[in-house]
Amino acid sequence: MARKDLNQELNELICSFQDQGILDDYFDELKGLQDEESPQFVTNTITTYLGGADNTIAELTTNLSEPAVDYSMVTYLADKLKGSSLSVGGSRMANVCAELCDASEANDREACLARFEVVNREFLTLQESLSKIVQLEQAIYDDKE
Amino acid sequence: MALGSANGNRAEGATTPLMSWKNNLRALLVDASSTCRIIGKAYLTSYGVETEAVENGEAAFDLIYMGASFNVIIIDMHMREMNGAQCARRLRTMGVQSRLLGMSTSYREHEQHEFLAAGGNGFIQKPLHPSKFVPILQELDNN
Repeated sequence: MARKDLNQELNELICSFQDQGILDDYFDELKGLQDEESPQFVTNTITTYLGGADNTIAELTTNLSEPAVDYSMVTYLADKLKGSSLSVGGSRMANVCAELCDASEANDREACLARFEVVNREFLTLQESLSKIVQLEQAIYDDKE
Repeated sequence: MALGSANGNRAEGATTPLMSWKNNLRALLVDASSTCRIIGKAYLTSYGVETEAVENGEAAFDLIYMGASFNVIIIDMHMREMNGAQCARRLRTMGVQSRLLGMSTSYREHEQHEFLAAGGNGFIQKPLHPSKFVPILQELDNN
């Protein structure tokens, strides 16, 4: 597929995710940091985010399944996930992480578990969306090489 | 060469920073999130700031001990081993005179008080954006 078509497809995909609220305008800022010197900046950043988020969610799963929940750790992990999600334009993901932070600061186990379920669901959506972006970014990059 | 001024046009393939400064500005970013470090460093670098990014306070202290100096140190307020205030206090104890900014997505009032009392100078909201850091850099460049 011609590079112009791929770029158009990518732009349409991003707009679609933004229209759905999965990504916000900050994702455009992220794309703006990609240039000739860092042609895979978006791919590398998304890959780093997804790997880090996976690890954080695994830690949260472990912490929340403990008989005695370490709420300060849950708050820390949820806050970290919130910050990194915001940094890739995932404001909806960040919002559900903020709700988990609130539940953890209230030491409310039930609420934490409920909010964490939402975090997991939202992450799956974001992960799928970002993965599609990475696929197109990689196709564009490979087309140039 | 325009000083402390914005040049929004970046020629394709060029590595010309988006802004130029009178002084050689150096920043240290201390953030537990690798994603935030990548993006923060890319942003600051694109604006002509020589930037280091480390994962935690201890790594920041090691850099300082090795003789590194920075105009501004941006500190994640919520890190695993130590919070922003603890990091700021230690940096000031080490004699660091850099501008210290606490960074977070949201702040509790007591956290802000603690950070300032520990020697911090101010705050910058995550995620980093030129609208937030350029005025601070301009101020540093003019001092």
